[in-house]
Amino acid sequence: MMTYLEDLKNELKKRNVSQDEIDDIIRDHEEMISEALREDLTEEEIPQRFGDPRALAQELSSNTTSHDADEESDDSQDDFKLFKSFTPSEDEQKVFISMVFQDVTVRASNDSDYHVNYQGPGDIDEYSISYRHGELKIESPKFKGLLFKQNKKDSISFIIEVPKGTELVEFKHKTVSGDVDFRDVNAKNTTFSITSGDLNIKNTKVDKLVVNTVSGDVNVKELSARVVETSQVSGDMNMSKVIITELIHAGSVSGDFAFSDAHVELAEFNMVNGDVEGKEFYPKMISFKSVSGDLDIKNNERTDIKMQKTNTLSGKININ
Amino acid sequence: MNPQFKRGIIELCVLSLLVEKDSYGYDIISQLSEHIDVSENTIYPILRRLTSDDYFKTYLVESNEGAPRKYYQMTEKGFIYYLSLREEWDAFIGGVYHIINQGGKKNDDIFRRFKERIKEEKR
Repeated sequence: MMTYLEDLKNELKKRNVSQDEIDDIIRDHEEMISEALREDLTEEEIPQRFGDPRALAQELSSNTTSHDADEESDDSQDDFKLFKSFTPSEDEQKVFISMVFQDVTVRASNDSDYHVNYQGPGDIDEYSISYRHGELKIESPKFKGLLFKQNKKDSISFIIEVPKGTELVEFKHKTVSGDVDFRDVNAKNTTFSITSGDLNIKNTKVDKLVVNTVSGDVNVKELSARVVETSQVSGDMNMSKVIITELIHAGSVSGDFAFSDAHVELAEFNMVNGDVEGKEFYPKMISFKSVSGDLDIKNNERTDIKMQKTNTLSGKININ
Repeated sequence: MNPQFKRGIIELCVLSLLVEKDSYGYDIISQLSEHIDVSENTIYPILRRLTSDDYFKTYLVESNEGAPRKYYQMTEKGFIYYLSLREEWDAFIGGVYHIINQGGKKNDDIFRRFKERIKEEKR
């Protein structure tokens, strides 16, 4: 057992696996090997059952490095090039983005400027990017012909950074199939119009959030808002760690809504066959209309939820 | 389908065990190797990756004999992932069976027909 573990440790070290991870992996193997020895295996059979330490170390290190690599390409700016920076004027700050299939991340910058970063084989000069009177506008070129004939390979992804600590007065994002990642940015009026792209919103404070999607999914985490209006056709919406001080109005045809850890003053749902599921979902009042969609709320804490204007044809309502 | 075919299947097997109940490393390995030809060095990296992707949580339980056992527990995220893999697998394997059973399930019939065809070609 000791030689096997020693070999494994050395192989992992060779592959630059961090000490913490090595300790953890060795601990797990001590546990599993001692279990195996107790059961049926002899010392000699260990490598047979547990495999060649070198192969195992290789697998584990490619696991971790490939994992890291994924994160980096998502997250870091390494592959992104800075196109332009803008210093904000004294005006009220607004951002308007209009895309077709380009993926866009909007986040807070590390300094007090706007930064437009891009990546991909497309031609950045075809894009119209301007900053005037407090308005940052980014528009993709108008594509001629049918959308599905466009080659996504010629696309560009953007990371747009908003000056740190700035509250935008308005943020609007329009896209067809591009994904949108919006985080750590505060904006008074925030509007997303997306056809099939997915939307992720994280850690943001807004006054009014409007989301319209057809088939894209929406994920919201750590949001504080006064009003949320959302309308979906078949996309789903997930909201967690959300505080809405006035109203959420949510409509969907076949998409589902899931709320967890959400505090809402008034929640209005207008569903066809989509379901609403809440876990630790605390609206003070609910209005629920559906054809066959269900409403299901499971909370640990019992609070009074006032039902108003409930109307469903065949959906089930369950609140506990 | 998952590009790394076998790995994807074993991933689904691991998820299927843990959707039923929490379990520890060696137990998972023994259960799987009882039915399929697979060794620890395939399973452990999968457990580790699924844990770092937040599909599993872990906790330690003192055991009477030797080191405490690390139990793996499926998270909600893991469950959703399990459902999507499961769906993908069912659709895929359903299609595969459809194709391989096109000539019926009786191997004798299939061999006989094939033999006849070869004979015809030789003529």
